[in-house]
Order: sequence, then structure tokens, then C-alpha cells
Amino acid sequence: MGSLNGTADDVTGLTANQIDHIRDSWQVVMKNKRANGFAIFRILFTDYPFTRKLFRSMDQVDIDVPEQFEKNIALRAHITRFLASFGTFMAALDQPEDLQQLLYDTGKSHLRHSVKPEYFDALGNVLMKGLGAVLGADFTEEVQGAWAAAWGFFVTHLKHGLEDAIRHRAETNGNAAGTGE
Amino acid sequence: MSTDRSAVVSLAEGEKAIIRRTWAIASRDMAGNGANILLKMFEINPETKKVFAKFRDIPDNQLRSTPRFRAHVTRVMASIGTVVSALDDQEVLLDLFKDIGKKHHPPRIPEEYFDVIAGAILCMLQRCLGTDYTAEVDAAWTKLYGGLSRHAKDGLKEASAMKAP
Repeated sequence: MGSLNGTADDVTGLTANQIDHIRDSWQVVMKNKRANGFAIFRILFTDYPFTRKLFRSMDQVDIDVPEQFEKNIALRAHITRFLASFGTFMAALDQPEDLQQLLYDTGKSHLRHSVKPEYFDALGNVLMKGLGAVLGADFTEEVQGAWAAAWGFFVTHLKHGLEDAIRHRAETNGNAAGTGE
Repeated sequence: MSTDRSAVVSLAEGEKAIIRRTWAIASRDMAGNGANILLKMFEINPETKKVFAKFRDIPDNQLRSTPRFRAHVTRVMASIGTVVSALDDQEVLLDLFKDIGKKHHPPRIPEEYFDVIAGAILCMLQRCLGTDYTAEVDAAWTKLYGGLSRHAKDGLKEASAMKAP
């Protein structure tokens, strides 16, 4: 499938072809949700050890011992939410306004977890590495390019949401009512 | 408050199967069915709309096409979806349920609103499933949601008790 004219969307910069590549490869990841979810986060904690402190009790876990890693409840729950969140992005790839808002709100929701906006940059590298590991030879240059384009858009709005939330908290000193998510 | 950690919510295998099957149908239209949940909640109790700073001033009949509303209701549906995907994992369920509560502070939401949305969720499912919305479907979802709201309210209380970081 995919559009013959390959025009990039004004907002996301993605072509219909790229959207298909991304969705197809995400389907492959989702075939082994649990294992692949853990694989992505193992890469994150290995390559960016400072992110471990974001999760309850992760510092006590030896990530080279698979069972220990997977026993961490906070992490298991987060992976479940991460995959569901990502699924909403995948569904909205062809709806730029909705996608942008979903990313923004997701970024914002990381305020209470002491995440810094620049941590999302780390996740981009991790995602590419994780996709490479899962897809193998199917992670072609074309597919990589599609993901790189999508991630560029994702990370912009994830960070934007979190930055706005941080700024808003600083301005209101955490006392705002009715801010919602 | 239940201190029985062996069962965050005790669902029989048949009940889990019902929930998964019916959710597969409802999740085909995340934004649309999510909108149905919130709009029904606003209909049942118009006060509930007021906690949404982002769209409380937008008329109900414009909300379905408002990106901020669409994103929010998509995420509400996604959070139900995460619960459905974790039915076999009691420990993760507890974390998910409490997290749902914690996410709602700030702003300070009256915990009764979790009860109002319960009816709205069941309504949405009825609308999706038509005659397939049987007494068994109702019972399974009511049980699941009962566990969810009990622990979400605990999460909400915990978040309210903590000072802002």
C-alpha cells in the first residue's frame, strides 16, 4: 500500500509510504510485546544508566539477570503503559493534529516522574537500536529513515509538553487547580 | 480498603475472555468511543466537565472535533486498554489502577467522579456492542471497574497527601 505520489505531510513531514513502514514494523514489535518492551528498556538502562533512578527500586536490580529485571513491578507497569501510548501514536500517524496533541499530553504526563525533557532524546537512540534488534534485516534504510522522520516529530512535541508543564509548575508553584493533563 | 494483596481484582478466566473480546471491539474507535464516555459523563453530571480546564468552555457539540479533547479521550481509552492487556498480572494491575488515581491530582478531582464515569463506560460498551452487551458482559466489566476505582481512589488520596515536588 502507500501513496504513489509520496507527498510529505506539512505538519509531520511523513509520507503515506513512511507511515505504512512505521506501522508495519510496529506490528512486528507488538507480536512479542513483553519481550520487546523489556528489550527496549534494557537498552535504555544499559546505554543511559542515569535513567534507572526514574523507576522505583531499579537501582537494586541487576539488569544482566533477566528475571530480576522483569520482576520489577513499576517497570512492568510502565512498559505496559508505554506500549499502549505508543499504540495511540501509531494509530494517529495520519492525523497530524491529533498526533501532535497526543505527544504533547504524553510529554506533560512525565512531569510528576522527575523526567527531564532531554531524556526523550535518549529514548530516540534507544528506539532505533531496539527496532534494529527486533527487525534485523527488515530494518532497511527506508524503514530507518521513516522512523527517524517520525521520531523527529515525536520528540519535538513530547519535549514541548514536558517543558510547558515544568514552566507552568514553576510559575504557579505547584498550586494550580484545574490544570488537568 | 482491601488489604488482600492476593487479589487486586479477582476475575475468572471466562470473565477475562469477555473483557478482552469486547474491548477489541470498543478499541477500534479510540477517539470516538472515548468521546462517548466523557460526553455521557458530562450528561450524567455536568459538574464533571468543570475540572477540565482545557475544554470546559467548549460546547459539548464541538468537542468531538477539538484536538485537545480527542487526545484526552484517546488517552482515557488507552489507559483502559493497558488494564485489559494486564489482566493476568495482579501486581501490574495494582500499579496501573493506582497510577490512574495519581494522574488525577492535580487537579483535585472528587473521588465520586470515578463512580460517575463507571456508568459512562458501561454505556459506551452498550452502545458498541448492542445485543452482545449481555448480563455476563455487564458483570465482568462491573467487577473489573470496581477493582480499578477502589485502587484509583487510594492512588488519588496518596497523591493529594503528598506535597508538590
